[in-house]
Amino acid sequence: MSVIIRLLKDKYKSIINSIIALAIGFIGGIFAIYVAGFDVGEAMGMFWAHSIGNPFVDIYPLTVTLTYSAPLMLTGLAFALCARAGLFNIGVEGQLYMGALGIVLASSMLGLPTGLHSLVILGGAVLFALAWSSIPAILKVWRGTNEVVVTIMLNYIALWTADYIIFKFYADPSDATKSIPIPAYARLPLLVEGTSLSWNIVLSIGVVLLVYFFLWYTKFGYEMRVAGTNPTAARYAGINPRRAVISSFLIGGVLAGLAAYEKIAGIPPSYSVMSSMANVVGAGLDGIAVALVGANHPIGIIFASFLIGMLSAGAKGFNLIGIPKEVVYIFQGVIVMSLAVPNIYTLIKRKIKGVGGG
Amino acid sequence: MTPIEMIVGLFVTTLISMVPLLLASVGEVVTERSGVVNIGLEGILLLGAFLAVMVDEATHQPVLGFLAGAGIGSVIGLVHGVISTKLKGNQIVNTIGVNMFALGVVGFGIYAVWGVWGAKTIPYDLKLPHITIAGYSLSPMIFVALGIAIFTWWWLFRTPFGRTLRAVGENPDAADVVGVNVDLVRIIATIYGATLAGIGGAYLSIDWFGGVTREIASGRGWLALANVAFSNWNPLMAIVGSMLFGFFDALVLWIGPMPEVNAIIPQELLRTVPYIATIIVISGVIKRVRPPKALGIPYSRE
Repeated sequence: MSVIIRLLKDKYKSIINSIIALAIGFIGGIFAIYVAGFDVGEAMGMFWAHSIGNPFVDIYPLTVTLTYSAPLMLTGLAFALCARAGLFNIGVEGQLYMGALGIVLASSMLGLPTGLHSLVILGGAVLFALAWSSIPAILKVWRGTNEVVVTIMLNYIALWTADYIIFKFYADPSDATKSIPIPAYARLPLLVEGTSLSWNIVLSIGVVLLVYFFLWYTKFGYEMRVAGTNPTAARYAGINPRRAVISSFLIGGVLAGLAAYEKIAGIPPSYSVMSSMANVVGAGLDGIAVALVGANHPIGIIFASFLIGMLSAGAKGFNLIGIPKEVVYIFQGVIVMSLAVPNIYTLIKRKIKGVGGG
Repeated sequence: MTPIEMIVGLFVTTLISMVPLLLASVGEVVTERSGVVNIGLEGILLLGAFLAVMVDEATHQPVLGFLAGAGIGSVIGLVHGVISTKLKGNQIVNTIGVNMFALGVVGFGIYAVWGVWGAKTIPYDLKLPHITIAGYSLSPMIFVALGIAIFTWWWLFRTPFGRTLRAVGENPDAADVVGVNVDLVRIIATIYGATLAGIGGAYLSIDWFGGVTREIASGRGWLALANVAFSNWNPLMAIVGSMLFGFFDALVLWIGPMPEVNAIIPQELLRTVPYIATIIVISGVIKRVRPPKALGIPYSRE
């Protein structure tokens, strides 16, 4: 609790900025729904009913939101770590696809003892994602190549490659729209029976707190933060900025691998990769919004992942009354654009004062 | 098919693929030369493609469709320009937002406007009329794009305004001292860049593919961004780069469906070729190019 209070005191400005950006984003999204001729009241009612509802009567909608939030916490943290080291890692999306490929390949290795096989599957997810995230890191350090372009290119390459390999060689013999499933013993158990909420959420919060501790209470974490905020000062202090580049990308890769594991091993009912990676796609992109709303701070990211998870859950409500779920990207886009403006709160305050004071 | 016909066919497809890359990268060269970075090209291509179809269908005038693409591009450019200068915003974050916003508008809009899911096609007579040269039907936009690239080179390197624009991107303090309105020049450069990307988007939908889908840009905005670095921020070199990246795009479109090719390499994996080529090319050239000094840094007077 004390952590949260300190955060509120230190960071109240960035919290207010995030709240204002969310408000502007919702105004933008609702405006789009209105212009397109849908009933805004009905739409937002459905949105609420499918993301929060009344948890005292029925906890189900809330569990859907939390199911979405869990992997977003990790993908958001992956982006945030790189952002703190001064890098824009748009590649979490592609690392998720490679993680999913690792899971499917490892799942096919039947005949191993169950405990070992579960570890191999988790390891497959992490190693494949890690390998994919090491490419932009190496190119950045070795050639100085811009990480934004490289990570985007790697996302496309990962999508086509992973989707091809999975569905050419590892499709479920009984249902070609799915990959072979992850074996039952390697799945994350449900937290609330009858819902989709599994131990994902516990795993995610645990990992976020661990990274928080690492960044703020270890020398290495401190060096990483300094290298990102002020590379010149870091160099004078004997900190190697290259080490920050490499380690933030690699930790990001591990987080992406864990997120892929949660997406496939921790969400019923399919426990497999759907064709065109449908049940993995977007979690990396949404993670960017999570990181930015959470001001790249681990604790902020926990709250932000809840809000962005709410958007994904609410989108299902939109879909039921014929509003394409892509509309949530209008919300997210406007939120992110508003967050690009520093101190939007101060700006608005000054404007209001300017008007009032003449 | 004779080898000559094949080579000419591949060249024509390269020219077709070159157009959106060239427009978007020449525009981005100008934007970045002024010190502003816009990674929202992919989103602007999408928005341009979407709006062009809307206006073209309503008016039956492909030219108005192109104007609509240019219009939405300049609106986004104005917003990004103001946020990057007056509001001292984070340029990368803002244009990540532009990309998300575009994804939302197009995914949502295709259904909201036409009531179809995923793809809206237009009849042949709504496409921009082509001209026939030596038996090949070519879009006039090929020549327009090349003309814009040459004009932009002249504008940047042979006119006083071009010199001012480059100075603003290299050393805004010095430009400010001699009385240049740094923010205004940057906003103009950002609008110019985004407008060209919007025209590129219109080309995708109402000239090349004859319709709009959520995936229509399929990374071309990002290839254009890579091409800006490849060209060393020079519009004439951007022609070479767009032909190169366009060639890989064309190669996939051209040989992808051939059964004898698919026997060796499946179409899905062939699709990764332009992206792999891009990584190799930009990793190879990046050390001998130099971006504008003040790129990405909002200017504030000390």
